Amino acid sequence: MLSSKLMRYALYALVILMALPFVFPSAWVFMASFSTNTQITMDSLALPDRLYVENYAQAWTGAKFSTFVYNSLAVSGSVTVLIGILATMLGYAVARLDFPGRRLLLLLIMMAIVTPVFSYLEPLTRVVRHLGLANSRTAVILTTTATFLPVPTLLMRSFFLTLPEELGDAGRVEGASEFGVFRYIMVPLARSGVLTVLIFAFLWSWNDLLLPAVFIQAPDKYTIAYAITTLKPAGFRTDHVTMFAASIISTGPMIVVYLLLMRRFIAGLTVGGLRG
Amino acid sequence: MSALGSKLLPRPLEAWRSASARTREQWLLAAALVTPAIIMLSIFVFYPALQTIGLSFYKWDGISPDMGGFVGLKTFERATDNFPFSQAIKNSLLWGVVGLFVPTIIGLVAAALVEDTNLRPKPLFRFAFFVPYFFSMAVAAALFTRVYDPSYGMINQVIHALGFTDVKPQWLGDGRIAIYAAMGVFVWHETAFCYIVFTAAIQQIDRSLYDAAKVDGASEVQVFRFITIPSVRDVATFVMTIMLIVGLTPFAVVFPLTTPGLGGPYYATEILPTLIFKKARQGYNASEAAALGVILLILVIGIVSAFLWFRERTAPKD
Repeated sequence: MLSSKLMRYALYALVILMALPFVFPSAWVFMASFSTNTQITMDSLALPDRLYVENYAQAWTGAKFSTFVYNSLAVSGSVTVLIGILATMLGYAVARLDFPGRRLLLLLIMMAIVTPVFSYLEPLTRVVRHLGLANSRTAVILTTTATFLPVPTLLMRSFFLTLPEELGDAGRVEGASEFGVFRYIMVPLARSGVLTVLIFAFLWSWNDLLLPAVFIQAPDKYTIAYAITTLKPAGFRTDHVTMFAASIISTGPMIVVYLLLMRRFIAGLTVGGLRG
Repeated sequence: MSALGSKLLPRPLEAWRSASARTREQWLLAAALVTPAIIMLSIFVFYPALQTIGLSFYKWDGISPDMGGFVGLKTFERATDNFPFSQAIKNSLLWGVVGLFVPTIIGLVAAALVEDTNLRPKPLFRFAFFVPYFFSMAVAAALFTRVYDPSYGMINQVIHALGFTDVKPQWLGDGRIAIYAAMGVFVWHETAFCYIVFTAAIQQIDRSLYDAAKVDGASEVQVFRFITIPSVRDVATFVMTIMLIVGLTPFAVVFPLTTPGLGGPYYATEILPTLIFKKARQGYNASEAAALGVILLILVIGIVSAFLWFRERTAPKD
């Protein structure tokens, strides 16, 4: 009895000890986002004397994070819609349609997944320049959509593969066209897969750093993730609290997903990953 | 001959007609569904990727109107025969190994400790391990420039509060430890991902397996070793593959941590992506960026395929 009780305490101690390195920096950032720069430089572990909510106002208006959030919403929103549509179409074609070159196409998609963007980064910047898209949100939207597309496509393919083919055949017997089978039978049944892809695409582009850093020079077009990385201590600029507040603001979409959709999202992710 | 024969033999006329109409319709629909995506991928992925391979054998700055001559492997020599490159390769490989094992093992053990015991309240512990993932990797790294700060940073303040008043590591300024500090941010952030995926996988394991093991008198460690680990094998392969790819290209960690002075101090945190990024941004070193790109491509595809092959080969037969 005693030993089982001891085991219980040991278990709690172990798990809390393991969780501490993950929780503590986050809690520190959260606390510091309500503190003052003077307080942080003097003793950053101490609680602030009151909640300096104005840090958030400063980040939102003073440091222009309203603009960066708007940019991120515009970019991520567009990427999400584009990927939702393209991945559903392409995923259905490679999962359920018989056409010449399907295997080759699937192979190309697989290869695109393991090809890091970095390996063709320089030619990609020249493509963007030639299209006249340098320093534009459109460049970020299009390149993010294209480079990320293969993963959600495979995810959609595995969702379509889980749907029984008989449903499509039933529609065909009833006189539905191939397009009708796709649009009115299969897509509605793959709703949860589409939802996973939409969440995934939104979070991915919201969090992405590389493509905004490569393609955007004008600060008024920065996305939020990129803007935060530019708010680092440079020279004597030591406005920590604004950066902490901005970081907390940047967690918005993830918090929404965590509160509402996490279970579904992860389930979808693992199903897709396994069948890829 | 017979296989070929059966292909060439005419099917019943009616079936052939309807089938071919269906086939034609499927081809049309496939063309319509595939074309937009193919155009996007061709312009922004396939074309630049092919260009990379071609360019790496030429000598071209990326600006001059006419491409320089074919130089064979000369560009590779120039791109690889220097200190930054050897640092980048060393760091990338080390980081790949760390990515493969550290966040995955911590994530799996933490998930098992929370899910497979009578720990309460579970949602609180799940939240605790997932918390870093609320930040993106880039934002996490930007925050860690403050966490690692030698004077006011969280870590050194904690060290100070614990009584070690003269220990003040320059986490990011000291070339000997900067790369480990950077990997620390990576592990901090990616463990949360591994944790949440393993949690979902463990929750799907059939509970009766655990009950049977308990009846047979298996210890907690034995249950973990002989039930949990084999049950999440496929998920582990998936998670490890992702960690391997991310670990070989952790640009989102190094960029915020070391800008300005990307890859510093003195190439201590250089990785292949930062080298390529710098050359791509300069805009006058196209063929060297391409050669590095090809090396990265071979590295990632080679290592990931080797890993997947190994997992396939060691898979239990049932």
